[in-house]
Amino acid sequence: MNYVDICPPAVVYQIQQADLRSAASSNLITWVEENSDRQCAIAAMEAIAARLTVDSDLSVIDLFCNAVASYAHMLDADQKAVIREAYLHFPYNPVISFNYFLGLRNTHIDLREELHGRVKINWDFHSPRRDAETWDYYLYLATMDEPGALEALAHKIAETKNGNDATLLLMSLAEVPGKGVDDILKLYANDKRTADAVDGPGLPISANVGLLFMMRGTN
Amino acid sequence: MGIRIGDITSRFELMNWNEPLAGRTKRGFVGHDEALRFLQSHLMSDDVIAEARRWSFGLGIHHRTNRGFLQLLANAITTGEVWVSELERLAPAKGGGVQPGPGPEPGPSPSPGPGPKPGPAPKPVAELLVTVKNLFGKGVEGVTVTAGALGTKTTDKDGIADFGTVTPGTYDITAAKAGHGKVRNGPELMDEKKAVAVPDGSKTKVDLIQHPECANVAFFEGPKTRANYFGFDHKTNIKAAVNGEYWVPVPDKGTLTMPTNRFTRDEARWVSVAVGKQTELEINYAFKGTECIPCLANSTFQIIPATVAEVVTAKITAKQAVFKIKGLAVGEASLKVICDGHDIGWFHIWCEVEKELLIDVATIVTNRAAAATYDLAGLSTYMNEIYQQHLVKLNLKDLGVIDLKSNVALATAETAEYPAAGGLFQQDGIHELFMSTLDLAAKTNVVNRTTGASARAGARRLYFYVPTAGAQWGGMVVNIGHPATFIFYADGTPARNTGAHEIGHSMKLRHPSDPSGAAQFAAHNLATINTATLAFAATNTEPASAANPAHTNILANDPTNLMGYWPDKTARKYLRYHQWKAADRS
Repeated sequence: MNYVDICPPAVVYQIQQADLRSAASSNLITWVEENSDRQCAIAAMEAIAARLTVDSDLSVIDLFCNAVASYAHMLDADQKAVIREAYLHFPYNPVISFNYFLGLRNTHIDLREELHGRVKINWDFHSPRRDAETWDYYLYLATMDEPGALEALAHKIAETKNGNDATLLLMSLAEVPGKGVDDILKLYANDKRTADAVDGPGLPISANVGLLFMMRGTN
Repeated sequence: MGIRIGDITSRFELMNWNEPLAGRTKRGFVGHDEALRFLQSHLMSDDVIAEARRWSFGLGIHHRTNRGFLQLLANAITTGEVWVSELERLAPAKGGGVQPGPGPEPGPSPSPGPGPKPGPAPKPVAELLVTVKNLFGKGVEGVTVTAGALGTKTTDKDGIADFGTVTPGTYDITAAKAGHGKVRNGPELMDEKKAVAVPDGSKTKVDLIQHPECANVAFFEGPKTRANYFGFDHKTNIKAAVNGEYWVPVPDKGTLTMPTNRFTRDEARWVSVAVGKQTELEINYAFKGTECIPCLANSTFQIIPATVAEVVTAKITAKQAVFKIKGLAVGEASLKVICDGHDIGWFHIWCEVEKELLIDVATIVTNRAAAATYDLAGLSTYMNEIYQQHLVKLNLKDLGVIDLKSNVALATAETAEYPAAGGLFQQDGIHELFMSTLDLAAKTNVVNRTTGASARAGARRLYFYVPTAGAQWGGMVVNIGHPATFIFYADGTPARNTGAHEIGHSMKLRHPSDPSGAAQFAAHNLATINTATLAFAATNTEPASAANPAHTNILANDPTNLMGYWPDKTARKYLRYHQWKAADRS
């Protein structure tokens, strides 16, 4: 559906006028939803996908990828094809690896061949939200059932001694569907290590794993 | 033949120009005045003068008055027509006789007897001339020159202090002028020469240096306008002692060199700047006097390494001025100000790619918590002012009301969180399991929406969960790094500040009191938790803070740090270098 046909005129105007080379346009899709509805936002996302280039602002690309991830469950095959084409038009940048791979994960768009060798592999990180390009990449590979990817993620968690760091990695891993992930989570079902509350020990890993199973069951 | 001046004790003779030395010592005179003074001190009695007149008459030297005669005789000495022979001193007579001595008066005679009273012994004489110049060779006026026992003189417009005729000897000579030193870019310091020999019968010239001091320090503050900078940290390199600033006292630290260790506690500032963006500082020059103002124009700026940032401000024309840099690439660097080849000031730079982080905001309604009203734009402005310090933009989206009243399982769990009838929420402590369950229920509720605002994938959550009965705490995060955070009271500055604090935890920032967070604070600042906080004066970037009793979660050196428990939440906003580096960026 073309955004011109379904979005209010004021929103159409904003979409048409948006300069994707400017960081000021990064929040455009969220703004469209706030000023219209999800269908209009998805149509706007498609329109933006066709306009993204190597000159687009990094934050525009970053939040475009996040919008892809957020609306992934509402996209049909044609829309995903448009998104895939967009991913080929802007460069991969490790600074935005979190949303970049989140968009690919949630849409199951297969860019494995195109990305091969372009992601710097470095498992020396502590948080899945800081300098974790490798983690983001392997979550994507695991989502695409790439052989060995899940094992690599499991190995990283197994090597993590700190209870809080292990909790955060397990929470992140739990976003990937599938029995393979369930099997990894089960390994920690009785783990007595704890996450860090702000003033002392927090929930045991075992309790958090219970919550993760609850979440996966409800998703 | 010559004529002895005075009686037998005299050591001097007047000699005709053509008299040979014949083993005598010729007494030297610098000029007419000295010769005249010499004659006046040795030809004192009428008898002696009369004898000298008779001797001089044959040489054509005569005058009707004694005064005029001595003038003419001094002229003759100056022109060389007459010279003065200095005899060997007489050995003291055994058992009596006169005492030899250099002084003007002979010593008391142990055997006074008949004969003429001895005249005063002559004073040895010399001259001393001191010239004070600047480093460019120009005389400096108004310099106080001291030459030991000779006292002080002030230089004239040509830089000359003329001590005239002085007693021969050895003198320590100094030259001092306020605001001047021995080098252009050094401290205020007198110049001196020790043990200068000023020999009899000669004119000694001494040259000393006093150069106007120049701007030998420059230091940096943040700008007064919040929108003009990202982060400004004056706490990480906080001084260890009074006058620990590299620029204090002004400018008496002498020649400076920027330390290679960027964490030297010299009060050098840390600033954050995003790649491709500019940030502003306030540069301040300090020096004595006005002579150095041209040094402002002479200043150059160097960023090491140059790949991290570049200087935007090309030229400084005032002692206090705007100074801008631009981030070029991820990394750390130092900027130093160079004047006349010397480092005179510096600050340090942390450069990163600016990131936009997503936070979905909602108010949770349950059987025990009513919907809260909040101003998303105000909340966004407040939080972004804080988080731009570490080069993060917070992108807030309003998910509105999440109504969980119909969730029976949650209601049961919620009831357990009110341990005392009519009491506060979680009065017996925070229960992370319930908070995690509440987050999960809220997420599920939003995912199941078919209309209205949708949640964003991977976004952090900031929930207003405001128990009707009130809460024991202000807010919380499920655990360090967890994406769900809560505020337990209504919107306003304290609630927003609590929200910012909890979002900090969600980015893995920790309390100062948390042993696992030691790397997130400068060690010397962390060592000040639980010690009494002294008052800090306001700066361009931060308000004044009052003295406060010791607290286990307040850094005395950095009391208003966002992650501490400073009681005045309007001031608890600041993140420092180690926190910039530690916080999550996705």
